[in-house]
Amino acid sequence: MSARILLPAIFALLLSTQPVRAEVLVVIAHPDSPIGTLSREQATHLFLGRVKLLPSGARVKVVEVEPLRETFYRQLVRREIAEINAYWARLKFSGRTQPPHRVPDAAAAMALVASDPSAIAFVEGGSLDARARVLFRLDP
Amino acid sequence: MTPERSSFSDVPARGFERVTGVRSIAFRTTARILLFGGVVGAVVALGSAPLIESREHARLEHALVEVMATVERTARVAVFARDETLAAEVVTGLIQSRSVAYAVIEDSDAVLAAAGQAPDDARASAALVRTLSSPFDEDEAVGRLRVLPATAFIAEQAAVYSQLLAALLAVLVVSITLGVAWLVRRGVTCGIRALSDGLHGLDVAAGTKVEVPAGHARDELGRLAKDINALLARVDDALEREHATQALLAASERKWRRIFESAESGLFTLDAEGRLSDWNPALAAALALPAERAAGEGLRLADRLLDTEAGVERMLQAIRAGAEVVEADFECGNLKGEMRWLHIVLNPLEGEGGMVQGIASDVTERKRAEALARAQAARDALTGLLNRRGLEEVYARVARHDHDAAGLGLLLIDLDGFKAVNDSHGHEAGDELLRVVARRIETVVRRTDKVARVGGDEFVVLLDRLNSVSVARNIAAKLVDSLAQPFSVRGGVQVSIGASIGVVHTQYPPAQASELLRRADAAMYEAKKSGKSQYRIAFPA
Repeated sequence: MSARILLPAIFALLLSTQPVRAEVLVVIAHPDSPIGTLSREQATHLFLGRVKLLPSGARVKVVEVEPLRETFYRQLVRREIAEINAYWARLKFSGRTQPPHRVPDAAAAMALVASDPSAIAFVEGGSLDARARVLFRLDP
Repeated sequence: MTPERSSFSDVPARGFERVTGVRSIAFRTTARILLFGGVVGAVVALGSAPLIESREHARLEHALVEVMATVERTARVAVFARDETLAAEVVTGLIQSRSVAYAVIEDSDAVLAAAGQAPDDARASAALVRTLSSPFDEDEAVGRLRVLPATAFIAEQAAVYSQLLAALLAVLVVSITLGVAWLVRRGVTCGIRALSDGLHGLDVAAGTKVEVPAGHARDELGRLAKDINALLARVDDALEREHATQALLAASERKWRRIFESAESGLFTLDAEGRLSDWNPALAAALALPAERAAGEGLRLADRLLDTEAGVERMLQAIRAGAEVVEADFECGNLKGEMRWLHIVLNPLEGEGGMVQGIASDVTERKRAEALARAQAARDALTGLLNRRGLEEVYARVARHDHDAAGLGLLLIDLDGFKAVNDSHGHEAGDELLRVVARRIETVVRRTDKVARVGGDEFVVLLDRLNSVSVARNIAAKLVDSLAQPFSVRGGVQVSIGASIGVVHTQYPPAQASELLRRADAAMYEAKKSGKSQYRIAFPA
């Protein structure tokens, strides 16, 4: 993908997300997920790799939506995306802790959550449908 | 006249060895500064060691805290993500530092990673602990980083640092000491040594001078050298004057000593008690003093003279009373055992504690001449008998005697017919007759009797110690008889004369000689009137 095509696309996206930005991000999972609700701390622990397994011993598949990462982490832990990336860079070095699975948009995240009961992801409130259940609301 | 040379070098060498080695000022000063610097350096080094060690300890600990800070972010990530591999990476990195003995990262309930030698419980408390918070929430503590400093290494480092400091101090002290020693040697000792050597080899009498040490012309050493030279010059002058004075004195003394030794008069000094303290050979010969001078010292002058009437003592008394000169004659025995006469003159020695100086001159010849003159004056030149004056002297002496019971007799003899012999045979025959008469009288009288010729043909016999008048009568009778015998004069010419004798006898104390003679003359006249050649006894007065 060349920059000549990408740059106008990003530019268009920034303009188009203007009304979306006002929307509340929510952490979602499969309706049958063993996780009931999440506190902000629990959400932080799950998305930043501190908690890798549920109390039952089942693995959790954490999914990030690429365009929403910046907003999500800013709201969740009040960190810029660069800091988050640096954090993961340190952990990637050891190879033991894997960063979250990353998808390009909310639709892909919804599809993934709908298909995998161990997955959790975050999307804008407006993108939500019946295939997922809200675990935690990120109030801006 | 060459004055005696003298030099400081003449002094026995023992006291003036050249000052070298351990006794030199440079050496002693250097040694003292070294000692002082060594002691101070050692005290400083020893005193600073604990301080240095504690400072070093604090410094290393501080460095450790900083190291811990640099790994803190990674450690926080590792402990937040519970990533043992990243945690192990961090502690392994920490362990690389030699000042870290043990490092551990732990979360709230388990050790995540540890490296190094696990400490025992006692030492675990010395660990530096840093609480690790979540990378996303400063308030959420998720674990701890504990680091145990390598105390042995820190101590070793501190010791090395301390030793380095001590070595630097030692170098400093030695350098300063050597510098001071060099300065002392160059600035002080060399100058003093130069001065000392110059002074040591100095020939005082030769008038040489001390050299001012090079480079010290204007300082204290230079002044010292100049002062020494000034002093030497004065000493030199004084020595010369002293030598000249001594030479004069010696010459004078020799002169007087020669005079003293060779004088014919006896010269001497006496102490206040009249004991001999010094004398010349002439006096020693005259007084027969012991050959050894020491034996003669202290002898009393009076004991060496026939000083029967304490004449010496009277002379000394006179001097004590203030007399300037006293003199007297004394008889004494000389070395040859002869009796000599000495004329002794004494006068006081001013300011010598009662000392008296004296001169003894031999006056034996003069004394003898005087005695002879005196004897001749008392004798009749023709007959050798006493003359009238001699008779009077003898009479005076005899009359002074204090005889107990004995009396005194006097015979006055007048020759009969002498004028006729003189007229017919001449004066010479008459003189010869008188001499023969004199001898004949002397053969008749007692040895102790004194015979005198008192007139032309008048003789007197003085009879001393005469116990009775009968002895006088006896002698008178014998004389009349003897003188009546013929005389042979002038080549066998026979002449006959006679004698008329007046006898006086008296008790002590006797009358005047003239009174006795007058009475004897009266008795003799009686005898002549009665027919000559007989004697008459004078009536008692």
